[in-house]
Amino acid sequence: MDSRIFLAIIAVIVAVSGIFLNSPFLLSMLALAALTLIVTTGLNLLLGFTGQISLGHAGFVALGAYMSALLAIKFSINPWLSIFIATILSSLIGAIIGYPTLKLKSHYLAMATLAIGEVINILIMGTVSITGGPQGLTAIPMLSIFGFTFDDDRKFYFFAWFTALSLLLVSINLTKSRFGRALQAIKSKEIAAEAFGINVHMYKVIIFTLSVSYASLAGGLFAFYIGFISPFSFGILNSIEYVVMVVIGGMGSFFGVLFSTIILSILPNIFSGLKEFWPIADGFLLVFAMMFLPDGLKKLFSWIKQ
Amino acid sequence: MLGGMIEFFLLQASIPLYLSLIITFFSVSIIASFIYRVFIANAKNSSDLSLIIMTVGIAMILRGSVGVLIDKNAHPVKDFLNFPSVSMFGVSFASQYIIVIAATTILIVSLYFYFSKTFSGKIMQAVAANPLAATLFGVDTKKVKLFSFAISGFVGAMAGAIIVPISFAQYDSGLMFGLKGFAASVVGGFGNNTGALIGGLCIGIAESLSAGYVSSVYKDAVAFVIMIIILFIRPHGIFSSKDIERV
Repeated sequence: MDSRIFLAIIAVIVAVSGIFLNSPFLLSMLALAALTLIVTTGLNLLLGFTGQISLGHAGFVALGAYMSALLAIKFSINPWLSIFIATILSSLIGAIIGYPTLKLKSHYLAMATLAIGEVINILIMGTVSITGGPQGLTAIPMLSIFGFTFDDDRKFYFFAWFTALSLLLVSINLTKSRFGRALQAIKSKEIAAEAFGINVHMYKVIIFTLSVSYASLAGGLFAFYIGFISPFSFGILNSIEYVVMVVIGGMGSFFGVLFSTIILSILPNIFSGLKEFWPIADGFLLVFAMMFLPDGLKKLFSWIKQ
Repeated sequence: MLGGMIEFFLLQASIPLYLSLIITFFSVSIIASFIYRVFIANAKNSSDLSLIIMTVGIAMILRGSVGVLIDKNAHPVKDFLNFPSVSMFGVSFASQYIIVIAATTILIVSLYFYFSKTFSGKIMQAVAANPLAATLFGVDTKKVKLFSFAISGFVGAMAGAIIVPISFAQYDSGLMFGLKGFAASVVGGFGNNTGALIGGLCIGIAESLSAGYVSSVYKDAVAFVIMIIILFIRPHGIFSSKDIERV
């Protein structure tokens, strides 16, 4: 089955459940899952298709969230414009950071991105006068367009899923293009890719930047939806959670990651009493996936396809 | 982290210092080899990427289990020497720093000798450089890897156990140390012990200076900012000129 048709089916399911679901708790949970999906789709491009790990993606989500919220609050710029500016700015920062770090071999890259995520968190915690530090940032305005405000969970649900699925479509098209095939060549054998005239480092920087821009867009939307952000939502555990979602979903499978993102972002909300145990569960999921299911849900998925 | 926490508990149980250190080092190194045996050696796909993901997962399990099973508080640990501070050249500092410096020196010298003079150290380097070629020469790479996990567990436990009197034992204290160690090795140059040592000194001094002159809030960020700058202008690190793979 063509993955675009599959995407259309998913869009229909999402729309129908958006109309019929009535619990605001469920709707907001699914809306947040859609925002997470934006991040994991971006991370999947990087981790699944190019084979470059990032353990600092929550830092980039934080960058997008804080920049767009601050632009909107301090300079009273239109929220849409501020999300846009923030995404551009953080992509720029991503490119500047990615240029030197993507020269590193994979295990060093993991450490470097982990460090970058920590630095962003430390800076946010430290600049209390601007970001509010550990207390967080409040009074972030709502998103609205032509007098239509995204003020209830259902409206935002549709908006978030529309954005997430459009970005998913963009990513699917991207991976089917010449560019996407080059990325897969880099993943399977860098030296061979280089020999075929692919500028490996440049491609890695481009895909890293793209993935950062996804993350920061999701961060911006998150800030305007929740209306409150604090550095604790963007810690290292969140970064690792994104990696878990991509790994469990199957690196390089957009739909596998879609399902794992929905499941893994809903489960902790349902079993919120077991909050302490989630990092352990995440750890076990990673180890388990690498030991027995390196392809994650992708395997299950291709089986259904047939 | 594990080293620090185990050391804290052994001292809590009033086991003498020397014995507790020995137990700590060996137990962590046994845990590390166990992890290799059970998880790493059985990975279905042993590419770099999947091993990284796996070790991240193991780190999460260890950290989460200690946080849940014991607690998340920071535990103070007594200084090893029985006088709290020493003065030297008009500067006074905590006595534990002497232990840290002495242990680091001993460790560096012995690792240097191990890797460059002994047979098994050379084998380990060979496996790191080219596992396939090492296998062809009759090296049992699995055994070597197991041993290297044990050594790294031992060294990590050593660092953890001797730093806790300065920095408290806590379930998530390992991360920052690990990352800073990484930053130091980037600044100094990979695969170069002297470089890493000097890189570590540079970063430490820069941190203290920034805490003194700018603000102590950004102290932890300094190491990584320096690392990024070094990666930009000298990707090989200050001292090394090889061993980094730029494809």
